[in-house]
Amino acid sequence: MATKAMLSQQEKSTAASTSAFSWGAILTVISGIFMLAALYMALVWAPDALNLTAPAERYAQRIFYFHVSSAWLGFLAFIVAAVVSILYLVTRKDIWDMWALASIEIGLAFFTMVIISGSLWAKPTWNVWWTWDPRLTISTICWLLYIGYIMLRGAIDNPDRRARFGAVYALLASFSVPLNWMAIRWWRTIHPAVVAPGNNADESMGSFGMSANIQTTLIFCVVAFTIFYITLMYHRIKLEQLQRRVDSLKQRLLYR
Amino acid sequence: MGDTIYLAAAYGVFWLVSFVLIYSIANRQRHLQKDIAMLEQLAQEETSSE
Amino acid sequence: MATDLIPTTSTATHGFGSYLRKVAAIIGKDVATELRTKEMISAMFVFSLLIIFIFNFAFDLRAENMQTLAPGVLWVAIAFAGMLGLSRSFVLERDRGVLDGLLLAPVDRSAIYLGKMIGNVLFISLVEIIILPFFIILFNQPLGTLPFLAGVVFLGSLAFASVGTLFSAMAVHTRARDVLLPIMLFPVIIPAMLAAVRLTAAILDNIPFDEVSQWLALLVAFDVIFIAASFMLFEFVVEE
Repeated sequence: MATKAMLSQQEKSTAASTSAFSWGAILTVISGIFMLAALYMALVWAPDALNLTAPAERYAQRIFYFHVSSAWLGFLAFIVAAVVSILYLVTRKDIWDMWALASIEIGLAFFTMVIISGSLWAKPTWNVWWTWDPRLTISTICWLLYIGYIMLRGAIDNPDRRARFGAVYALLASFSVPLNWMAIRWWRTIHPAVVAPGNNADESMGSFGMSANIQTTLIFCVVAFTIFYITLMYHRIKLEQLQRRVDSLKQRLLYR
Repeated sequence: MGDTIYLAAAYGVFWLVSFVLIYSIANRQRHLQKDIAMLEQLAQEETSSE
Repeated sequence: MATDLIPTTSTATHGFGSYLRKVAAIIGKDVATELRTKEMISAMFVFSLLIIFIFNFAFDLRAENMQTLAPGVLWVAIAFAGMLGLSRSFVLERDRGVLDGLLLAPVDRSAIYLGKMIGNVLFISLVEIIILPFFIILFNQPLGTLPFLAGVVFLGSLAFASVGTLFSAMAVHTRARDVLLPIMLFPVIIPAMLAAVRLTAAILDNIPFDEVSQWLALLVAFDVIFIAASFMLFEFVVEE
């Protein structure tokens, strides 16, 4: 009887995966096209910033498009994780736990990019690898919070407890982000001039002229990254579903 | 070239991390699919021998 | 009022008075256990004294003015000592099956949280009150700052214990319990730490209160938000 149930489940899942496969493929192709277009726009189509004269600075300015977009994606991932964590605690549906894990894993990857590319931008522009600029600092704190989440999950065996603790932690971590943001901004504004660039950082958005084409490029990049995020989420959640099916199959074989 | 090195490095990092992420998802997915096939075969063998 | 939000485990628990009595009973239990051995308090005390001492002569060579480092050193000492205390907070509970007993008892889950949290604040504050005079002597600070410092230390300990108690209850159920707690706790309490260091520096440097009032607001806001959030989320952590 168990086998029968399993077989019917198998049929259902293969049917689902064939119809879902095309969805995944469509999403993948669309996000691939958008990302390549975003790359073209950021590197070639967008004009040079007018007021940056040093060539090193002018080139480095183009890092900004993907840097800002990844930061946006990272924060989006964080917000999604917090919302689905609430949903998990309320409804106790496994799917929300998968969403949270997928979102945080993707957010972690993109925050890594934000920090590294921010550092690579700071070097030619401010002539230091690292400044305690509010944006850079908050990204790093988010990265650390994400790492805590992944490590917490890794240390718990019971799947139900893993999901519950993960949701509680993700929620508390998300409360800490706005407070961190405030604290770090005040820290810089009240305590200026240790690292002079830290002051410019607040105006860094406006410190090169945002001409119309620069703006268009940035908006396009943000849209492309959002589509990229949706695609990654789709595949990561699929993966998590597979993982749980394998786990339950193993359980069933062991304890029959 | 010296002026574009940071730009190249930054975009290199973007694509590297993206590819690592995509590769890890694809890789894990492939392994799991293999596991599922094996487990289902095992389950079937056991029921047929019963 | 808060008790209505969370389903109680018993039918006979009504009234704010009885709720407070239960919280007090849990605090009393922790204090009695601690007084018997004084293990945790003495360990925390010696540890934070060591940190202050080591920092004082480790930085001595390069820092032109040790006074500028004082607030940072004090808070590193408090953070590390507090971590030591928090990581022990639920270990006894778990190893001796106390937590199961508490969960079976007709006590609201949030009362367990409040009791444990207040107990932790008591222990950390007690240690810091003993430490502060040593700190003032070693860093050559004016003695008159003591009451203000004590106030800031209390608010900081509250921030630390609020979310720390919750995370400690989570960490004991994981495989790497002692390692995991600081990794989870430190990034979350960064804003409270920044605010506490700022306020301490303002007190030691005699900066007018107006210039740092926003930091006090931030610290109090952190305390309120995280105590409320942990209070409501604790139920999800201990349900088994």
